[in-house]
Amino acid sequence: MKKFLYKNVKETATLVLILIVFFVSLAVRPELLRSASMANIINSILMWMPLNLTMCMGMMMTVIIKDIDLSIGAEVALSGMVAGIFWRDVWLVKMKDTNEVVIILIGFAISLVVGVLLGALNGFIIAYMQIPSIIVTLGTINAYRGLTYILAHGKMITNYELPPHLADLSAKGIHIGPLLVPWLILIALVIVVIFFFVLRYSHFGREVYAVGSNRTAAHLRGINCKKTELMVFTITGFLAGIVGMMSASRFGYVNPQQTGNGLEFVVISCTIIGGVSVSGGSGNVIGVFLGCTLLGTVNTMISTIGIPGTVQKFVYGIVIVLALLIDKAVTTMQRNRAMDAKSARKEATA
Amino acid sequence: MSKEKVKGQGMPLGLRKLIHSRELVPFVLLIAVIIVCVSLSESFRDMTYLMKTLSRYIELAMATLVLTMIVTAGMIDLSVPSVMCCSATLAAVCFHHGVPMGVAIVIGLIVGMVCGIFNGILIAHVGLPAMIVTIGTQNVFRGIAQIFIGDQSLGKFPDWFNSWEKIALFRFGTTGYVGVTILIFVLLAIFFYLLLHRTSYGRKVFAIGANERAAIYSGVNTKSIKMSLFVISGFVSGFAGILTMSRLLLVRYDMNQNTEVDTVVMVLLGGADINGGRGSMIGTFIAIIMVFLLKTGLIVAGVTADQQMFVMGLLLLVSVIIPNIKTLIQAQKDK
Repeated sequence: MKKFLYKNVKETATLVLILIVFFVSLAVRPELLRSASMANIINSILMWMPLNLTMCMGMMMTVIIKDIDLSIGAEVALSGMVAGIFWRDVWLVKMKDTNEVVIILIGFAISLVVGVLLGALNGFIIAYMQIPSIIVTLGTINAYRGLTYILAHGKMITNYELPPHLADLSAKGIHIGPLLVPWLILIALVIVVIFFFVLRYSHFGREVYAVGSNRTAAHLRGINCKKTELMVFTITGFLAGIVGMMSASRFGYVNPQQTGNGLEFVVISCTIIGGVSVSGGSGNVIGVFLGCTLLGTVNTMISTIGIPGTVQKFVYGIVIVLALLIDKAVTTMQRNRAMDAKSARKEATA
Repeated sequence: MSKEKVKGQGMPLGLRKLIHSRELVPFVLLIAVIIVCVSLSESFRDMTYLMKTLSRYIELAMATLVLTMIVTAGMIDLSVPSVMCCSATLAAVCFHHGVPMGVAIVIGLIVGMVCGIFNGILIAHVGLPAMIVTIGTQNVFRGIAQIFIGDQSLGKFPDWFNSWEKIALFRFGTTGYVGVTILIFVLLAIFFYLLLHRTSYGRKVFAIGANERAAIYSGVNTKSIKMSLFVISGFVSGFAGILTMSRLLLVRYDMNQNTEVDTVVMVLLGGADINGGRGSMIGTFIAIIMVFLLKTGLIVAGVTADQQMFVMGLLLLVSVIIPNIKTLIQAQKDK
C-alpha cells in the first residue's frame, strides 16, 4: 500500500485535493447537500469536462514528448467554423431535404479533416524544420484564429444555422436517478479509454514515452522521432476537430472570438496538475483524468459558493504555477530517494 | 568597409560580414515594407500621421527591447503584456483609493518589478522551464488585474498624467510633433544596446544563451543574471504599462491582450535565435519599425485588427523558418 502510494504520489494527491475541494465547499454551503442541487452540481461538472478532457489527451501526448501545443483553441475554432460554414452555406441553401444524420456526419467529417490538416501543419514545421514547438504554435494560434476571422467575415454561426439535433449530444443522455449524463461525456470517456490502451499497450504509445524521456536514445533504438512527433501533433489536431463539433453542440454557436478562447490554458493546467511532467517522458491517462476532474470541480464550486467569476483566470494561472512547483518537488524527492538508495547499496557492498 | 580580401572568397570582408549578419533579413524586409506602403498610400508620406501612429506601438516596443535580452539568454517571457496590464491596473486602483497619482505610479513600477521577481525566482532559482512558467504567470498577472477591476474600466486620472505621448519634444510642419515617449524609447534602445553589446553583463547574457553549463563553469553567476533579466523586464514592462494607461486615459483588464505574439515576432524577426546565444538590439530596433509600418499599412489597407492576427502569425512562422532553413541546408551539406 505504502509503495503504491509512493509510486502514484501525484495521482493520490490529486484525488485527495478533489475530495478536499468538494467537502470544503459543502461545508461552506451545507444546503447543497440536497439531492436535487447535488445532481445539478455534478451535472455542471460533467458538462464542463468533455471538451477539456478530450483536448487533454492530445495535450498530454505533446507534453510527454517535451513539446507543447498552444494552438488547440484556434484549431477548435477554425475546424468548427469550417463545418459551420458548410452547414450555413451548403446545407441550408442546397441540401435542405437531406437526412439530418447524414448532414451532421458530413459536418463532423469536415471538422475532423480540417483539424487533422492544421495539426499536421504544426507537426510538420515542428518535427521536420526543428523549430521549438512553443514558437511554432504561438505563430499558428494567431494564424489559425486570424483565418477563422477572415472566413467568418465578422459573423458567427448561430443556433439556427446548426442542425437542430446537434444540440441533443449535450442536452440528452443517460438518466441515472436525478442525474443526467450527457452523450458528450460518454464520447469523451470512450476517447479516454482508447488513449489509455493506446498509450499503455500499443507500439505507438510506447514510442511516445521513449521519445519524451530520451530522444537520442529513442533515435538510436531505431524509433523515427520526427514521425512520432508529427503523429502526435496530427492526433492533437484530430481531437481538436472533435472538440470543435462538441463545442458547437454544447454552446449552440461557432463564434470566431469565443469558441476555444483560452482553452489551451485550461487544458495545460489540467495536464500539468494531472502529473504530466514538463521535463517529458512521464504522465498517464488516469492522472490527467483526475486533474481534469479536479479543475472541473474547482471551477464549478467557485461559481456555486459565490466567488465572482473574475477570479477564474487567476485560478488557472496559479494552478499552473503550483502544479509546476509540486512536479519539481516530487521529481527532486524521487531522485534524492533513488540516490540515497544507491549510496546505501554501495555502502552495503563495501 | 575594409578592402582586404579573404582567401577563396571574391568578396570584401565588410560585405561578407554584412551578408552574414543577423540584421540583414529584417533590414531587407523593412525596405520592402516601406516601398510597398509608400507606393500604396498617400498617408505614408505624411510624417505627422506616422509619428502619431508610432506612439501607439511604442510602449510594447520598449518591453520588446528587454525581451531581446531574455531570448538571447535562451529563455522566453510570454508574460510581458500581462505585466503591463497588471501594473497599470494596480496603479489605477491605488489612485482611486485616494493615493496621489505620483505615488500610484511608483506603486505600479514596483508591482511590475515584483512580477518580474516572481518570474525570476521560479525560472532562475527553482529552475522551471521559462516558457511554461510564463504561460502560467501570464494568467496570474492578468487574473490579478481582473480580480481588482472585473469588467470595469478605470479612468479619470489627473490632467498632468493624461496623454504623455502628446507632449511635443519638437514640432515640425503645421501639426507634426515628436512625442516624448518616442524619445524615451530611443534612449532605452541605446541604453540596452550598450548593455547587451558593450558590457561584460551583455557578454554573460550571450554566454548563458550559447551554453549555460559552460557559462556556469567559467564563473558566470547564471542565477543572478537570469534573475536580473526578469526584474529588468518586469520594471520596463510596468513602466510601459503606465505609459499605455496615460495614452489610453483608462485601464481595462484586457489591455494589450493577445500581443504576446507581436513581442516575440519583433524579437525573432530582429535576428535573435530562439534557442539562445544570438541576438541583436539593432535588429530588434529595425524589426520594431518594420512591424509598426506593416501593421499601419494593414490598417490603411482595411484589414481589421482581428484579421491582422493571421498576418502576424504567418510572420512569426516565416521569421523562425527562414534562418532555420539556412542551418538545415548547412547540416545537409556537412553530412
